[in-house]
Amino acid sequence: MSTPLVALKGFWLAQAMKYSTWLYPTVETVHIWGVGMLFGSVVLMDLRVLGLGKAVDYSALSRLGIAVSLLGFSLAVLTGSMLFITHAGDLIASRLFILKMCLIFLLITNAVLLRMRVVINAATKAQAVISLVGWASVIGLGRWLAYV
Amino acid sequence: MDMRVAINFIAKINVWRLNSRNKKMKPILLLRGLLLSLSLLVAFPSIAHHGWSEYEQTKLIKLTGKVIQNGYEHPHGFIKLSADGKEWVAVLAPPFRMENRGLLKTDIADGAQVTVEGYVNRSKPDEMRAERITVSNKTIELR
Repeated sequence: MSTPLVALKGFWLAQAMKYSTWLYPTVETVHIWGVGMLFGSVVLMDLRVLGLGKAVDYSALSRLGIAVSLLGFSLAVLTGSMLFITHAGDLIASRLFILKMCLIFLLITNAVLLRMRVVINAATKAQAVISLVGWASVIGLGRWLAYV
Repeated sequence: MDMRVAINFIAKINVWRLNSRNKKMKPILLLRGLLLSLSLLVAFPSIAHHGWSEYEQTKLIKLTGKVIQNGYEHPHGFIKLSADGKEWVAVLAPPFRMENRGLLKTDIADGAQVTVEGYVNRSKPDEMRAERITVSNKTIELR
């Protein structure tokens, strides 16, 4: 194991995650809150882009959706980092984990480009499909990682 | 819940919505039903099947030895033990479960004599997932 990974293992927060009775389950719970808020609002916004719920005002939905998804994403990143430091060595060596991180990076880029647009056209619809399939896959990879 | 029941239920809701509107089936409604059914199809096996597939579950092995390292920690406890002429890692259970079933931290302290029964990891030949552990005259089920 490389030096930073060894150092991380001794980090007080990593130790607390392992040995504190409530911390690990609490962090897992908050991670799911974050993922739920992020994915829930992304699904609503993407379906709206794809033509569902035309009665809902697009820009109003986007404003709320972006706020909720950003809050959810922040929670997920914060708690995800805490889960990461508990298993840093295993995760760094895992292809699934690297794939998940790359996919999240691409999806964030996609989200910034998509949510900046005011009009809905063929390009934004394609981006909405990428977003839906992508975030669903991230959840799948996350679940997989937990049991490998 | 049976998956067919769930899918039928969704189909019925769609039919009911169609009838109540008295319109031709909108493609978007069909799409919605399909999406829901698909997500259920994907979700159900993953809920029913709780990981652990990395372990060779057709062959139960039994090891007896001395604990040389232990971790009563999240997400799963573990012990390292010398048995069968090599060093094994036995994956135990989450701390909550170990505590609830009476496997104490002191039971798996270094130097303790333990017997574990479980399955070997397919890709790590010196790691096993313990189904049960026998220590200080008590056997504790871990699954």
